[in-house]
Amino acid sequence: MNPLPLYVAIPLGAAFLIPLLGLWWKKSGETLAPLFTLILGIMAVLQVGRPAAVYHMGGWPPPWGIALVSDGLSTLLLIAINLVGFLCVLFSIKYMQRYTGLTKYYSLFMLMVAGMNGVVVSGDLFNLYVFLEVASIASYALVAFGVGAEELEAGFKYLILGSVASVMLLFGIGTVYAVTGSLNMADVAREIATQFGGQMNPGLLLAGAFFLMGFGLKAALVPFHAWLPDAHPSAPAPISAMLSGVVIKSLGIYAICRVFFNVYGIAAGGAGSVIFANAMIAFALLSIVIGGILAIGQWDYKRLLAYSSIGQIGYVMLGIGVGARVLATGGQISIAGLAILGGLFHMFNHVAFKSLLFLSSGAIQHATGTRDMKQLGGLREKMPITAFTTNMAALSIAGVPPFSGFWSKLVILVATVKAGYTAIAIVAIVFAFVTLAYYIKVQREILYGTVSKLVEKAREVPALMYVPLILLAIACVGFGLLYPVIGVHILEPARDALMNGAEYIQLVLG
Amino acid sequence: MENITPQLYALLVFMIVGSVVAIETRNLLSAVISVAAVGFALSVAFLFLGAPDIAITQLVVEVLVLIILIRGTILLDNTAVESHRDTLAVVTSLIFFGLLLGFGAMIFGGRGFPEFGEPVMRVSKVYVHTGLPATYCANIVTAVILDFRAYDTMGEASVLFTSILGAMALLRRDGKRKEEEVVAA
Amino acid sequence: MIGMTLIVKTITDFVVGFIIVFGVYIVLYGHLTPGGGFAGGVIIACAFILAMLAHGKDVAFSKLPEKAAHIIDSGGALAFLLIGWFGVTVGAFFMNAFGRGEVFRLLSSGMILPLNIAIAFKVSSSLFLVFSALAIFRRRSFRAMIEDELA
Repeated sequence: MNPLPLYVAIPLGAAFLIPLLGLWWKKSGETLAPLFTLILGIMAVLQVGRPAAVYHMGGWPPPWGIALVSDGLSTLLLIAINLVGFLCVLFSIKYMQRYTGLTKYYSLFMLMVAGMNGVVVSGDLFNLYVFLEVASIASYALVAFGVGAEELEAGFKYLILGSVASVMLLFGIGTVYAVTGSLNMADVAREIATQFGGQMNPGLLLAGAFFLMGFGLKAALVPFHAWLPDAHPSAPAPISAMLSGVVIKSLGIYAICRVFFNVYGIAAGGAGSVIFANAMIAFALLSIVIGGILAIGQWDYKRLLAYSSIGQIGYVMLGIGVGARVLATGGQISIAGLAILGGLFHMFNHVAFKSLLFLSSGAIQHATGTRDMKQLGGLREKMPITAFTTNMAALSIAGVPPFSGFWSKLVILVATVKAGYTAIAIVAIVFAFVTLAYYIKVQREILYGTVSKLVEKAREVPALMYVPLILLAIACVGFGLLYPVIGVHILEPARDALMNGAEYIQLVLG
Repeated sequence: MENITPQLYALLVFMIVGSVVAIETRNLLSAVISVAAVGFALSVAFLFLGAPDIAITQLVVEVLVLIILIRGTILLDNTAVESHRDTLAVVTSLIFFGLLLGFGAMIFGGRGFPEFGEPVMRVSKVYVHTGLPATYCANIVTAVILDFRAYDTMGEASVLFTSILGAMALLRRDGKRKEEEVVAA
Repeated sequence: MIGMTLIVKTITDFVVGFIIVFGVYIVLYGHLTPGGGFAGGVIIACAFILAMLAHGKDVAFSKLPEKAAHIIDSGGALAFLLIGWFGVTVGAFFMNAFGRGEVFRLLSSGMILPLNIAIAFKVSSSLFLVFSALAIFRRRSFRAMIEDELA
């Protein structure tokens, strides 16, 4: 049987069950959430290598019913969401003991996972919006879960900006429906390709601008990033790891890729595609530059990581945008493929090292009670495991060979140079060194140096907290060394799914 | 469609005026009431457009929201909003609003959109023609939302569940436990 | 006196039953006439909220205790999911596994009626809960404020 609806049904069922059982059984969340996320993670890994599949909800054929689609890109995101989800839940068991209302926490966590899974398997624009809302609303509540003044303010800011993005997306989807008369992505794509002959109807152009703004806000691309530097530091550490590790990717980057490559057929090179590709590159460059500059000056560890997320998402978007522009202007397909592959690889790596960094920041805060870098130092001696894993992630994200981050940035830069955008590549290289600089600052201020007063009393965190750190650190090294395996089985199918728009239409509509 | 167009325009103007009043008024209670007036006008507009299902839902949700908002507002001691205007923000929003209107005129005025009242029925005409024999449901709207697109409705129910759970989670009295309780646990 | 005046209370007692009956009608006939689980659920929730506004929260909670509302809330959502799963037995998630019946009868169109009822339970109890949470929250925070003032 096709397992696609299970990716949504299992976490939703868990989310409904946890508060229900929680009325009598206080530990329902801590028991059920790791169990169900582990099942989902195993299912997602087993999905690798299977051919792309379509599931007709309710037995109604598309475009009348809702179709669920799993292709290479969905599989990539499903693996990231469910495995990181499992590790974050594992980390939460000890970390979240300081908070109250835990059944609500685990239920909201499962709803967030369900929403993201729903987004990445959906083959229908409105259905994508509905599950995007589930994931977003759950994350607004989770950001403010501490209910302190700072948390509530960050959550409220995220709520307002996120709602603006949602309204834009809904308006865009409505416009697409009014022009093409359909909501099924493959059906809309076929309509755009045939009826409008690749020519962008002004309604579709406006809808595209709304999609880029709305999903760009969810992805925290500059200039839509204002919510992220507040939301990430205020959230509990496992939630920061989820937000930065997978939420901004599945709700933002994935949705941009899916809509512009598979629905708008940016690769086919219509009138609007060059504009959209240029906008993507512009947002990417802005994110790289502004994220990098703002990260250097931070002394709050989690806020530094948050700005770093903006910069790294810029690299991901740069790879995808360059690929889109090369395809739209009729350049060499191999260069475009390389650029998109680099972007997806960097996204996959960023899932591992940024979740690890946020979880380790949580471990540090758990042990020392602070995240102010001036008050930390010499952590290597007191918390060896946390320090070692943090080091791994910092080296990887800074792009030191042979860690995974080096290879993905290298691929993006090579593709950018090959495509002829030397100036852009130079900016990206300069800011790769800026990334290195602020992670050296992290190492110097937190891991090495003299042992500060707060660190003096710190003890290594319990095993349930450091096991996720170790697993993610292995991933940081492994993705670089195991590229031949990961590249062929996970990344290349994802790239092919993006580049062959016609294949997607064929797959869904038959 | 011609016979109801004047009424729709009147309602539209009423809604725009209501929204502007809601933004500009200093008193929070007046703002809440203006928002509710916009909602009720929208409900009537749905009735004119021949969509009783949506009109009913809009009406009952509006009633409930109005009760909650008014109860929330009258609990506040001071319902007057302080006015401080950020010139830059006003100018930027006006520029973007102008750009949006320009795009809108480009789209609705010319080649972009189908005529009002003559939608593209490529997919929906199948619902209209085969909805009754396929689902045995006399109300076509219900047939679409609970049979053809029941999965979406599950998503909507989850959205409601999530927002209620989120609201309940944020209305806890204390977010974090005291240190001694953590040690005991 | 808890709640509002005697006039309001009497009228409320008189009206609440009718509101609930109307809500149930909207839910049950959702597949035949305009309406459905969501609209009907909101109407039923309005009846309980009216009772809470007129009589105070203790009377409303004696009619529908908070724990029961939580159970109905999660249970309704779970029932929706399970009805969807039931469709797997005949082919696909959310496929109609119930008999279609005869058009224009109350018991027709298969899974639409049970889905409407599940939504109605879910919507009514959760809206009641959020309103009661707002009512209770105010008291607690107000008291906390006074305590802080005294301390």
